[in-house]
Amino acid sequence: MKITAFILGLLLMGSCQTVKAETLYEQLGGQAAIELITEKLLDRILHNPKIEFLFEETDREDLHLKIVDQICQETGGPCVYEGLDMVEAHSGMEIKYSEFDIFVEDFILAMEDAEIPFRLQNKVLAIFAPMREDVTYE
Amino acid sequence: MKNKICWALLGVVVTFMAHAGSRQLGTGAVMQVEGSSGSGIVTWATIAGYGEDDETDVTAAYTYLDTDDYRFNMVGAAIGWHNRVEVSFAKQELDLVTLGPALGLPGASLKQDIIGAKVRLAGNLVYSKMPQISFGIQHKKNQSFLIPSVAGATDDSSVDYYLSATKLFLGKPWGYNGFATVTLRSTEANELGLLGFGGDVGDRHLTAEASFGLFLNKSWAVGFDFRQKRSNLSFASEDHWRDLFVAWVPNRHVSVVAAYADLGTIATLPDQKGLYLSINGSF
Ligand code: HEM
Repeated sequence: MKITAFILGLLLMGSCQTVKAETLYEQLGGQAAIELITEKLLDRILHNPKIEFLFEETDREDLHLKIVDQICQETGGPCVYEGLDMVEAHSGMEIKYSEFDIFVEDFILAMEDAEIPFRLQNKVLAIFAPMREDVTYE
Repeated sequence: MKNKICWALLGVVVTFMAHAGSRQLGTGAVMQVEGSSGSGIVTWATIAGYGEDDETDVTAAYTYLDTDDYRFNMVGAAIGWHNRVEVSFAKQELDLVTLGPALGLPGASLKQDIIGAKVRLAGNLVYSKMPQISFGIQHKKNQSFLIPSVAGATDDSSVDYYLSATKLFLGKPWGYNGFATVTLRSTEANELGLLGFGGDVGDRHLTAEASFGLFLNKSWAVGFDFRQKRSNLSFASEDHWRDLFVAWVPNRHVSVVAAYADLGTIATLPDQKGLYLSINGSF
């Protein structure tokens, strides 16, 4: 009897936790935080002497919307990313690994600018890191 | 005068190269005791420096370890080419602080030079699902073979071969970035080779090494190293080595490692424990 109660208690605890479990999107601070990260990211990559040449013809507003939607969707938020897939979006640009690294570094700095804690930064990076082969041409 | 010109030239060369590669902070690991990229006592699959496939980096390091009965130091340099090939040079010296006087050889030390080469075979430390896998060799030449030969070592030079796998886990565990290495080594070395190679009770062995740790933030990492040791000399049977380390990587040019190492019995003297310090510069 006691055991049944104990197991029931455990099950309840488990289910309460799943109810409470927040998506990464929520942990980051929702739409406002993602807007801010993207703002800071674009501030950096569009003016970073090492990669800015790639964005010479970029419409900032448009890229902003797409990146916000993508981060939001990938972190479990309520958005739907409707842009190109990563291979198409970066085809013909011949992005090198070293340029990818510079982008990642700017992305980390942008999250720092937006005061995203280290442990959440890493969870975001873990989502985007596997896209390296799609984005680069090597 | 000549000296000044040398320094000036060196200055120019260093400034010329001082851009360092673009890989993320910490991904070059540090120089381990034999001059290869790794952690304190373990060789990793990483390529020294921060270069990507269009970049080349030079790393230099000085390492010091004091266990009271022994004092160890290493100076080394490594070139990491295109995140593919690493070539390294290291000079090791072990002062026989206690043993020297006991043998009637005060001031005696054991020395060895190591040339290493490593090639990344597959995978990427950070970005691939599979670990980064590398194969390497360390060509070791003992420079003080008198004592090792008296102790029963059969050769003054030999080659270690190793296969290593290293992975960084973004956001794992608990949101930190964890890292792990497992290395298999084929070696004839006695105490890294400082006591020569081969002996009366053995010759070539397969040994395992492992290293685990966490980046607590961008610049601070903590971890644990283990290195299996096997014995060739009945007179100086070896113990496994382990250490706990803290690494500080403020930028791509500098890293500092402090560790507490437990090396067990070395050449009959038990309980060799002490502080390990290593400073690395990268250009
Ligand atoms: C995992 C990393 C990356 C992600 C998630 C990402 C995401 C995106 C997205 C969502 C778009 C918009 C696609 C569309 O227009 O439909 C885009 C476009 C673009 N990305 Fe990336 N990107 C990444 C890495 C990079 C890197 C490393 C570079 C260059 C160094 C880069 C340069 C560009 C450029 C130049 C465009 C086109 C902008 C325009 O003119 O419309 N991206 N990226």
